[in-house]
Formats: sequence, C-alpha cells, structure tokens
Amino acid sequence: MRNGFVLAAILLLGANIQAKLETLPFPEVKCRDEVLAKLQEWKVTGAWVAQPIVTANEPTYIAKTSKVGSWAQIQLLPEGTVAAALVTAHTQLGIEWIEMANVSAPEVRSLAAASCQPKVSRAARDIFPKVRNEFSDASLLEQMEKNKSGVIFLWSPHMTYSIRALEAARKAAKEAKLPITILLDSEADLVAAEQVRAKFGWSAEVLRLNHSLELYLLGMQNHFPSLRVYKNKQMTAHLTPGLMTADGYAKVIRAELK
Amino acid sequence: MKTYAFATILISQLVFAAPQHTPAADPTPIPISSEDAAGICTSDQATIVQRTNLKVVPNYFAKLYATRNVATLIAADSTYAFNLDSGRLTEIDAGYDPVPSPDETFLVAIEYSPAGSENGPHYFLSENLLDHPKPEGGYVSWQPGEFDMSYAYQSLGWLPNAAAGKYTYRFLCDDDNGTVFFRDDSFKSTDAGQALKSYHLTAGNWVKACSNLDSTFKLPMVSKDGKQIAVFNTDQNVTQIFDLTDTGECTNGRNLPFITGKADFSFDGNQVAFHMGRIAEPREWFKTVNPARKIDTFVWDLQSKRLTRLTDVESGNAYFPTFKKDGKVGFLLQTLKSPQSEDADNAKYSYVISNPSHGIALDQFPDLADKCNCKLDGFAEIAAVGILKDTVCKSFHSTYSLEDESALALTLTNQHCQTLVSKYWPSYKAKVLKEIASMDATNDHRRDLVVARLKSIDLASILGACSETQSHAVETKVVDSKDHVAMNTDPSHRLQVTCSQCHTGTRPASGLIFDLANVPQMPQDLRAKMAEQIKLGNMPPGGLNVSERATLVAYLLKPTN
Repeated sequence: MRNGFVLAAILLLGANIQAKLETLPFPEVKCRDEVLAKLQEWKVTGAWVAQPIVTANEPTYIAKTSKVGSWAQIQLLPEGTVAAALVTAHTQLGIEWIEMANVSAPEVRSLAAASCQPKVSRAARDIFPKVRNEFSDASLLEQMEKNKSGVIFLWSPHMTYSIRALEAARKAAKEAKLPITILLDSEADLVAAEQVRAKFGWSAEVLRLNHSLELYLLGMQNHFPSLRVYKNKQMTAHLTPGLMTADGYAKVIRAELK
Repeated sequence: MKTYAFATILISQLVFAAPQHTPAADPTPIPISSEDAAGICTSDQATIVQRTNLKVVPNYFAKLYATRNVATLIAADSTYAFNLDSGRLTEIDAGYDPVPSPDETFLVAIEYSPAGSENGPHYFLSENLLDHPKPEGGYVSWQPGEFDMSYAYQSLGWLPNAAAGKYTYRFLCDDDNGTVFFRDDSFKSTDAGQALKSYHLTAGNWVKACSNLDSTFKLPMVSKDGKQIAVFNTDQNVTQIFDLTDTGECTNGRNLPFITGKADFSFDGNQVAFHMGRIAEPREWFKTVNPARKIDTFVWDLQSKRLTRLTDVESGNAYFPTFKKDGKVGFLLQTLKSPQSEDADNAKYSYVISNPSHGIALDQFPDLADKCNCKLDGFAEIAAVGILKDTVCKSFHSTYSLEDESALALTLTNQHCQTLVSKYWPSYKAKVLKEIASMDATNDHRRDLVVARLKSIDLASILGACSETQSHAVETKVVDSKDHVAMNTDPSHRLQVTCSQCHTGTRPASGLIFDLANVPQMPQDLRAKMAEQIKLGNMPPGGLNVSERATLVAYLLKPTN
C-alpha cells in the first residue's frame, strides 16, 4: 500500500513537473498548511523537480526560490509528514513538521497537543570545495547585476563535443553582443583541462570552475556542453545541453531573450 | 598447530619473563588476502560485478559492447577499446564518439580526416578493431555518403532484418535547431563468408524524428531496436521517452520526473539508465560525511516507474551508464581522493559493470533494528566489526563505503564476518580502537565507553555481532521500495525504541539531540534514570519503560525554537 502511494506521488509529479507552489508534489501530507506557509516565506517560485531519492520511500523535490543560489527541498517522510530545507552552497536550514495526533501511544497523546510541531535545525557545509578559481552563486549574481543579459556556457575536457562547442558559443555570444561566461565542469580533471586550454590557445578564464549551486541544480552539470542565458537578473527558462554550431547557439540566445 | 601453540607459549613466557620497561608494541596489521577481500570487501557493493581501473584520463562518455567485455572510450585525443577483463587499452584510432552497434558487428565513430578535421561518421568492423593490429593505411570502414557536420551524431539502433547477410542500423543525429533526424543504413554481405570488404552499404534517407511534435529536443538516444527514442525536451526541461515509427512520428510520450543526462535503453527496451546530479536530502545533511553533491547512476523502469540507484559514490561521480545485453550496466567511475583537493592526481578512473537487479546497498538493513538494541553491549561489537571491515578493506578499494559502521557490519554474510573477525581482529584491534577513539562522535562519553568495552572484549563476543544472514548480496534494494524498512505499525510496538527510530545509522536524526540538564518539564525520577542509562553508555531510551519513553518522545517532539 505504501509503495503504491509513493509511486502515485512520483507519477503525479511526472505529469505536473511544472506545478506551482500551491500544489505540493505530494498528494496528501500532514501539516500541509504549515509547510506551504514556510515555503511561501522562503519565496519558492520555481517548479518542483523530483530528486533521485536515497532514503528509501522518502521522495524528495527541489524548487528555486527568488534568491539566486537559494533552493528549497521538500521530502515526504514515512509517517506522511514533511521535512523541508532551505539550502545554499554553504548552509542548510531544515524543518520537520511532526503531527502529534499521529502518535498512537496514549501516553504521548496526553502529553502534547495534537498540532503540527516544527523541529528546526541548522547545518553548515560547503557543497563545493573552496578553491581560488571558482565561479560561485555570488559570482553569478554579480554577473547578472552587472550585465543586462548574458550567456553562461559550461564545458568539460571529458566531453569532446563541449570542446568543439566552446568557440561556437563564444562566436554566437559575440554576434549577439552579449558577454559570455565560460565555466569549467566542477568535477573536471584540472590537468586535462589545462592541456585542452593550452592546445587551443584559450585564455585562463575558461578554467573557472562552476561552483554555483544555482547552475548545478538547473541541470547544467548533467551534460557538456550546456548553455543558459540570463536577462533582467534572472536565468531564462530553458537549458540547452549538447553540441550546436554558432548559428544554432545564436538562435537559442535570440529565442531566450525574446 | 602444535608448533604454533608451542611458539605462542614460548613467546608468552619470554614476554612475561622479560623486564617490562615499555608496553608491548601493537601487532602489525596483516594485509587482507585477495581471496578474503573478494568476499569481505565487496559486501557493501552489491551491484558491482566488475571494476577495472583505467590508467588514462578518459572522456565521461564511454560505451559498452553488448556481450564482449569491452568498453570504447576516448582519452588523450585517441579512441581506445578497453578490455575490462585484462585492463588492456588498445588504441583503435577510429575517431571520436565510438558507439558499438547493438549486434556488435560494427563500431560507428566520427572519423578524423588526414588533415585532422572531422570526416563524418564511419562504420568500422568490430572484429578488425578489436582483434587485429591497425593495418597500414588504417582500418577499412564505410562512410554512408556526405555528412554535414553541423549534425551531431548521437546513437545507433539495430533493426533486425530477416534477410540473410543483411543488417540495417538506425543512425540518429540532431541538428542546430533542436531537430532530431535518423536514417536507416543497410549493409548487405556480398559473400557468405562475411570476409573483409565483403559488405555493401546503402545509406538511408534522412527522416525527421518526432515530426508530429512541436518541440525542440537535444541529447537524442535511440533504443537498441530503433523503436523508441529518449530526448531532452528543451522547451519543458525534461527527459522524455517516445515510441518512434519508421516514418518519424513520436507517440506514447512519457516524462521522466528528473533532469537527467543522456539515457541509454536496455536491450529489451523496458528500462533506461542515466546519470544525474543531486544534492544531499534534507535529513542527509546530518548524517553524511560525503560531499553534499554528486553525480550518480540510476535505472528507471519504464513500466513500473521505479528508480533503482546503481551508485552512491563515496567521493566522486559516476557517468553515462550503458546496458549490456544481459541487463548489466556499465559506467565510468571517477573517484576522488579528496573532494576538496586540486591535486593533479586527485581523480582516479575506472569502468564498472554493475547488476541493477541487486541495487545499491542502502544504509538501511532489515536486521539492523534487531541487532541494535541501543545499549552499549551489542552496539560496540557491531560497530567494531563495521570499522574493522572498513579498516581492513581500505587498501583494497575506496569506491563505496557506507558511513554507518553498524550497517556496514551487517552487509557481511555470517561466513565472511566470521573470517574477517577471527583472522583480522587480533592484528587490527589496536588500529580499530584508535579509529573509534578519533571519531567525531555526537556523544563523546558513549564513544569512550565503546572504546573501553572493546579494549577488554574477547574474540567470541565480537564474533557474536556477526549477522546470522548468509547472503545480503542477492537482495534487491530499490530506492523507492519500502521492503527493507517496514515500520511496525502495531500501537503496542509503536514506541518500541530501536536505534533506527532515533538515528540514521549511528548518528541522531535531525533535531533529536538534547541536553538532559535542560529538560525542566521532565520528572526528576525519569531524568535520574536517563542519566543513569547514559552513564552506562546506553542511549537515553535504553532501560526506560513504555511510559517513560513516551515522556521522552513528547519532549523530543517539542520545537527547539
């Protein structure tokens, strides 16, 4: 029965991946109002996207907030309650709501009110290692504030097509008169990256490591090359993974800026 | 045996007879034998069938032959066939993106021209590439007509053809506009012997895939039989699966609820494998010492819509899983010595064959709750076995390792556990105790009591911690399954305190850390009883009756602020 419930939740999400905040990705949760209120306080604006769950039977979803580099996570717990977290590249604020009425033992029922109790916890951890040559969420925000619009391009020395695509993306951005930020796969072998850079005579700027949680959770590290466009201090809607020519990238950039 | 016993007595007498100026040195830990390691050190790697280390820095994109134990990959500007049994890398110099045809007859790659530029896709005979040295003038290959390199070659399907000596391959590309094309290239054997140069290639006509849909697609991958297609829909930011007709219509669309990398179809077309990045779940932050981000590999069953996690790489990432014909999945594994390091040799690479039906050994095991009684005795022994396994196996591998030492211990079959403890505990005891003493524990007092208990414990007690289960490796552990963590919903057992209710492994669940001194509403006698249990090294609920536990739980459920 429990498996069926979770499966239904996943299926529902598959069909409603762009669902708005008002529709939590779980069909039934305890303390729903409290969860939604907290998510609204966190300014969750994006669509819920399923995450590959690790803890058995606890489906997890993430969504953007209005702040760059700050994401909300929600996780359905076995008792039908929810754990939520506001995550940045360095911190997590976690909340679990526990419905006291759910506890069956009479001893407990008599000792606490039947209401949703939030348990708050905080943790600090760097999602990305601290390195000198990194492009963080702060860097991304700085780029977006400095430029009205621009292009973000990710490459990896471990993906042949991304090496070919780099010059094409650069050419497309130049033709569109947009600044391009070229970033290196955060997991790349740095020696291999340097060899590619030297071979093609690229400047050292192409070795800047992508340590932006925002870009990571937008799916840019799943494939190389990957390209995204930003305008008006926001990332535009679409991710473009895979090789394109300069003409192809130019079309994507134009479409994203419309 | 007699000689050994005699020698032991003799040495003991010498030791006791000698003046005891300094304590006896700890015995030198004996390295684990490869025979023992094969069973003991892979117990928490239920999915791994084979792992072959690479001596080059490869591209992430590697493809596996259907039945041959060979992967094709690119490294250092050349293409290699990587024999997974011997570890031998053979330079095949066939250009990049080498993809074996599902029937293994050909390998298709983008060939370089003599001038160094791309010369379009070529079909190479696998048997020539893999079994013979490169001939003068290069390998024989077939090029299916002119190819515009603004197209990006993606994948290859095989359309079984009833005609003898005829082969048809569905060759998939995408273009600049996010449009996917395919064509069916046919080979006909011109003689019965299928000797070299005995094929005639007829290139098919380009057909627009998903011509009935108004969307842009990237990363298209065709199924092994050419009848399905997986794409990343850039309009919707989602990976989709469609049935693909011979005339290019895409029907029966199904969304994956994740943003994934390229998807690879199983040979029966019922599953797709892919990698995807994730960050730690809300509650993982409090239990894991792993990097909070990583890329792991997964298998998605298209019918049941169940997700199976193949990897949980301790430090590193896993990329581009591809199916073998027997259902096993190969992927490139990148392991990092330290996720925080920029050292040149920080990353190591290997190619792994895994069995999805075994799933990953999750950090929850059916008998963990039974074994773990939250009291010091029992827990200390289980922890010792887990840390012993981790310590002994350190030199053997560093791929996966469960952080929870109790769970780690319980992955061992009884036979492997008995071997591990009886053979290696005596020489590793001091090292294990040092390891535990240096651990960052949430309860230092309990940790110190664990060390004290283990110092004086006998071998039989440690052996008593071994799981009684004879085999864990055959259990299927699927991510969205509830099978292995069934909760007891009987009200009378609801508050039965087992470690797993308050802990994920040996670490406390978030928000459940409390300071006994600051529990004013707790009755004095209960507080005293809890203090006594803590002094004994037991978890607070250990030794409390149901009513007392209820009081404790009520306190724990109150908000912290």
